[in-house]
Amino acid sequence: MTRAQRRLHVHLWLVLGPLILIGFFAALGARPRASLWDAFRSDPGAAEAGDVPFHKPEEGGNP
Amino acid sequence: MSVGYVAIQWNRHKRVYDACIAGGVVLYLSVFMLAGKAFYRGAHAISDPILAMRALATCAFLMLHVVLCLGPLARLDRRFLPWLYNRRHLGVATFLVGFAHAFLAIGFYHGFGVIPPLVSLLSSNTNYTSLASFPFEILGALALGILFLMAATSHDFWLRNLGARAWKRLHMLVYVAYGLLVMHVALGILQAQRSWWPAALVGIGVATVVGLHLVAGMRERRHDEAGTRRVTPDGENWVAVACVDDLAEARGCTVTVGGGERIALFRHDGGISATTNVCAHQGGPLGEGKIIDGCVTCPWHGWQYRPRDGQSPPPFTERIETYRVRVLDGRIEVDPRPLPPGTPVEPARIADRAG
Repeated sequence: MTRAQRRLHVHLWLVLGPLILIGFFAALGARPRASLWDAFRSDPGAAEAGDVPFHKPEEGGNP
Repeated sequence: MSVGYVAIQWNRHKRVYDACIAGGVVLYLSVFMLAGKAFYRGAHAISDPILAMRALATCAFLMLHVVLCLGPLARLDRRFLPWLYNRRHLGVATFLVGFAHAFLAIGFYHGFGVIPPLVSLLSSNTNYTSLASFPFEILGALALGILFLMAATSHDFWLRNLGARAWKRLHMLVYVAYGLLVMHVALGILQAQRSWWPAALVGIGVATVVGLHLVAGMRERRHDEAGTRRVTPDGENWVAVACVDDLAEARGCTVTVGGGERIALFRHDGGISATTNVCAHQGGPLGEGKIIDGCVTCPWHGWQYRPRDGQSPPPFTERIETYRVRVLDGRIEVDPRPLPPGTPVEPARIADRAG
């Protein structure tokens, strides 16, 4: 690599690295306190009452 | 003006490399599926499609980490160079595994409704303002699009067509794809997980990739700053860069001149030659290569140049910059001003130590 390319790589990672780490920790920090699916499994009747969605969160949202 | 297409020049190394990749992927997927079935039983059992989806996703994510770590690892330790040699094959394999994951996931979660799967993917969740329920699938789709672009242009045909600089810039998009995939994983999968170890593993992976790139970059910066500069009484700029005894026959070394550009020195046939350290192919470090069949040979992909004039041997037409070089009292000195690519320069004779 040329000197300019080496410097670009270092500067890119100096910016991108912390950004990825901050985004990663922010995403983890935004985790819901309890999984909706866990709530459904512990109390299936609540789904029928409309308290929790009937489908698993990991099943996506295809209407 | 067009660029001719040349088929992949298969050799034993490439076949072994690809066999290792294919074997590794099959082994990983098999172990993941079997372990998933063994650990999650009864009420916690995971269905086969979801297990396969997770196996493919983690496999592609792991492969991308390896792809990204190989560059800095090879700069820190030459023993990783053989793995860098065909890194593009590993990159294409990463895309294929990621594509299999996406195909399965879109078909499973969006393929059974009345809306076309891709439309459903893009429209079923538009909650872009919430971090907790962000449509993380979009991030994965964007990353896969970048990986596709890179896989599709990975052949040397595109390298020649686009030019080395544009091709390299295009392929640096892999860093953006990596960032998107980390967020895809963090927003999508980790939020549904109760245990801490998946998040810890991803965190260690990110820290490793970022840390290795920064450490390798800092080390190279220190190497560049170690260059020396001396001005001789005749007014010409000559830089004393190494001693003759530092160089073994048919070997190269890399030196840095005042401006930070690297020069590759080679000892061959009783003389010293100097060329740019940047290979015309993918910017490989020529100074870490050696002389094979009378030609400077790049350690990354084996591209060759004659040390006397920086030209590739016929029928190849690539040219690299050369430098004037002289030997004084056992010291090698170079003129740091590069000559136009392909300019012949008579090697400095080692016997002429007296100057």
